[in-house]
Amino acid sequence: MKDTNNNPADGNNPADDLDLGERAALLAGMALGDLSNDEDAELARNWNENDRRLCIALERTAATVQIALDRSTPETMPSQLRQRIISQGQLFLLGGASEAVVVRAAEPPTMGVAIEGLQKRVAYREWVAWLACAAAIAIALGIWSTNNSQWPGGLRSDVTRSALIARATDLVQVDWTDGKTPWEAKVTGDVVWSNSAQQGFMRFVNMPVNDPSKEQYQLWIIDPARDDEPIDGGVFDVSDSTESIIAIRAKLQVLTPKAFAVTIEKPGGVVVSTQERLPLLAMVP
Amino acid sequence: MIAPLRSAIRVYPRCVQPRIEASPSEGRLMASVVAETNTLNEPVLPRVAAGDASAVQDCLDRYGALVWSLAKRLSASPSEVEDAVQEVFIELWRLAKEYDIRLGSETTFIAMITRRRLIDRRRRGKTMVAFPSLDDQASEPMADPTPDRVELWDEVVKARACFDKLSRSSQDVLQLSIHEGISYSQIALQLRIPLGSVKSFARRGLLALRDCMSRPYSKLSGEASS
Repeated sequence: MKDTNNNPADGNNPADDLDLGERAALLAGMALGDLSNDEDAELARNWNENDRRLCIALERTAATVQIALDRSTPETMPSQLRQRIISQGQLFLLGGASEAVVVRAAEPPTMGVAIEGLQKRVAYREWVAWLACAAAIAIALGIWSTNNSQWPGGLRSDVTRSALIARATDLVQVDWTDGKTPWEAKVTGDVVWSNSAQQGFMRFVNMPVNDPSKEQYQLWIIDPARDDEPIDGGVFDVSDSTESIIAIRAKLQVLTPKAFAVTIEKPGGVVVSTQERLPLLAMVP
Repeated sequence: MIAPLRSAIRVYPRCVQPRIEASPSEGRLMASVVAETNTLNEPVLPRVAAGDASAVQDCLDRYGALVWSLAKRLSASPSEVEDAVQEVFIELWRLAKEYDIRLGSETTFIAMITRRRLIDRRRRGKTMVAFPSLDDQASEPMADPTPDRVELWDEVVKARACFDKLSRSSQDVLQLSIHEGISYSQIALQLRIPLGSVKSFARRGLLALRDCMSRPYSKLSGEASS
């Protein structure tokens, strides 16, 4: 390899490159991301262990120089992006996101939530009413099975739910009970939630399939420690009445959840629920 | 033409912990370096690899701005930046176990993965040779190994000293290419040199930097002062 430390003369003659090993030059091009298709094909044809070593070394060199030249003021990434990345990372560590995918901001954030930028919470008097309602409700038994429902980002909810249950040390797991407007056919299942991970899942068995063009389900998280108003846990659909596992997407940080309630709302969900149709409730002991 | 780097950084003996000596105009020098220096002995990637959920947020706290800034600078278009940053961190969670504290600073490792992902995004759609696996970085150790970790400051100081030794053309091209993320065609226009020469200066410069940075620190210090 040519040592330019001993040859600092300035010059514009590309023929100087002839002094360099052609292979090394191609690897430098790879580390810099400037390979042409032909060069890339040439590199691929004879790829060997020495190439691998030198390529990593050159990548490391480029990264070090990148840092060394950086005098700019660091910019903070958007908070929504940061939160997405943290969620992805925590899922990855839980073991359920080995196939983690990029979630684009332009995509619906979760479960068909259509109203963005609004405070999707109901008034203080309403959560009190919800809790009062819940106090009179019997506890239903859950039935356990699995399915292949997906996170919006393509991750299997049953896998990530199992990972959360296995790894979370602060897991809250409560069964669904009838709400103030229960269905005739018994719906069972449960809610799992981890405060440290700020993640959770709803599992429903025998839940009626909804027509998203007419109505959608919406989860509310009652958390008096956080706020006087319930937290919007996301709008969602059920397409399989056998069993569905739905990821909870709380719009705010949950501190101490006291109850989870499912309402039936107009497509896209609502900011404030009238609670006219509240078929399911899960009370945290 | 870039400003002389030596004015901001001096080459310190390896056994001495270097510190920033920034002129007023360079007061924002290398915030990412400062961030790691402040928590020099607490790398976060091993915690990620060990499954420590709190490490994810710590990693974002420490390196989020670095990755975001690099992605903004090196992405082909602003609309791609957020996707690129997510890809970088997904890759970091996956490769956290490959980070070897003996082979370089955590910041450099993360900058390397960031650059690799950004380059991969530019190459996407083409059938190209993949970047090599990082599972055996020890096969290409730094030439100045020490029992303790090779600290970021040492790497940066050495990089700057070596960068100063490059020809002016290579310095200019690498400054515009690596740091600013400007395409070779734009660099050719800006510097008024042929496109082929831009590529040549960039590659030659990088190879020379690697060669220089792999030398023992003591030898480098001596040369730098001559």
